[in-house]
Amino acid sequence: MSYLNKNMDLKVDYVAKLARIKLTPEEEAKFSEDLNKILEHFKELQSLNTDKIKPLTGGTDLKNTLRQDGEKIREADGSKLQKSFPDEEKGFLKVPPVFE
Amino acid sequence: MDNLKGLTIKKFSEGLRDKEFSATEVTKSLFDYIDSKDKEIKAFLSLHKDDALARAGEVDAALASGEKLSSLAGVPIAIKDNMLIEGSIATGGSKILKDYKSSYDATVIAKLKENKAVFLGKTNLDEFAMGSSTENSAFQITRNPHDVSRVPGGSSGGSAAAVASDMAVAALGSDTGGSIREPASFCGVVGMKPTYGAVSRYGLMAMASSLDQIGPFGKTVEDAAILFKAIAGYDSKDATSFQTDYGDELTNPSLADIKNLTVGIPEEYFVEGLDKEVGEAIDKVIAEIKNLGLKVKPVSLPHTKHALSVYYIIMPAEVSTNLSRLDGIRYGTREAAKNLTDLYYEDKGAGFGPEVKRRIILGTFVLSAGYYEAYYAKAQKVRRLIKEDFENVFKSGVDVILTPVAPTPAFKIGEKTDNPLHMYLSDIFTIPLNLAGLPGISIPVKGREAKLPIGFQLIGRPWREADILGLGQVYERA
Repeated sequence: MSYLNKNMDLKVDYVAKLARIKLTPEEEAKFSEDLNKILEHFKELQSLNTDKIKPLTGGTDLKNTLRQDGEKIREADGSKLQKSFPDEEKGFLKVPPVFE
Repeated sequence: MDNLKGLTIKKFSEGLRDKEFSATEVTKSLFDYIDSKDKEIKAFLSLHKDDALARAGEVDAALASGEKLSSLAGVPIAIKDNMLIEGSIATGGSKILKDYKSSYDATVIAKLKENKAVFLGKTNLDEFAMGSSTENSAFQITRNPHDVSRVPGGSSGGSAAAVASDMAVAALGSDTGGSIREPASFCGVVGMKPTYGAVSRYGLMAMASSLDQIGPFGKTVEDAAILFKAIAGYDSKDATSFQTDYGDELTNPSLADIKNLTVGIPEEYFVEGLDKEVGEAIDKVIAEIKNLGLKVKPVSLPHTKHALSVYYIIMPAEVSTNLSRLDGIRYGTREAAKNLTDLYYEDKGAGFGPEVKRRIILGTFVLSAGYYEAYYAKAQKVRRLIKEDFENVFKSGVDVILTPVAPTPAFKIGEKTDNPLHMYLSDIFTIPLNLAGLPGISIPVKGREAKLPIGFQLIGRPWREADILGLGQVYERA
């Protein structure tokens, strides 16, 4: 399955499905127009030869500063986290069925 | 109280010490003022009156008992609503989190609490910090205090407008592509994006993790320096945070050291599309900096023109990843759904606004199989070239780079909402710093007659906030 139609335009409905987002028909039409203009703008990057360039994968070349691996008691009170659950039963997070 | 106008951290702290007023008095007067003024500006999404007055009362009691306090004690600060304060609502400017209550403090909030600062409330923003005008908020449109028919800039528009209209003494914002500096420029206040890694993002709603930084807004460069110093530092809860020794030079720069700096002016930032008024304002700053005795020389950052494309590939890619957690499962709103997959579609469809959806779609696409190399991998390579441009300039003996912040002063509400590409161009001079991880500050140009403020940007070497804050302080005092 291709993400582009035969005019090499982005198929918004298909990408929205990958992102699990429901779009209205109006949004689909507007995004299709907007995003294809934006992709058109990106073409200018192709003029640069980057064959020998190493990608910069983060904000800096610094290494992440990780702490020692080990058991840590969560400081936040669990009941506060439970309060932010959209739905719960007996303190457990409740979700809709995976299969119907 | 009639001395709220132009009240800075410095003046507040001196007034408190000299018993001109109490922290409680100032906090009360500020809320009275906000009650009337914010009807017009709409900078705040929520006010924390009870908590703020309780905290101000504690500061007054500590002061009465002779306790030695930090210069931020009792200072009324506004917080962008994408940072968590335990027990209070944090919406991120989004419907999907309209009732979300924070279960912990962001590290910046914990640090400000140690300093006994007072939190007035949470400020408006573009939804999840995605925008350049604060028009993408799900709740309200914030207005520019200098002209209410215009935008305050964004995404930290509420924080910038609150400080500019004297509703807050200082504020915190976050900056992914210019979200502190552009609103600071539009509203005529000071705003700084620190070096990537200088401030912990624990408790900040992640937008694009390789670009996001939290930073201060103040009415003066000195205030921005005081606030920055309080929130900077290593935090074991953010693996990208880094310990550096920011000394007294941040808040007490030496004039002799500052006069020894060399300032570079990149030709690529003075191009077609730059508003004439902005160009003239920057020329005025360059002349003044020369008068102060600093060396000024032209420099080149040749890959600048690619920054917008690189940013609008990398940022949405990270957005699409970070925002996948907002799926209606653990927190936020939950729409009715017959099964789990259905819930994802319904929740995101109903909860996110158009700009957030647009960026998730774009990000999902550039990361998808078959297009990854052409877009995302390519952008990461060009990102390195942009970073190397800056490194080369700094290696050539330049200490600070001076540029405009935005191509124009504040634009009209509604002017750019239909055309995302036009809106994206507002950040063309601020984006390169986020891509390169560099510190940058927006400072209002002094001595102009025009109604709308214009800011200039100073860019420093990594971890050299002292240079840009120092030059800024010398400029504002001259």
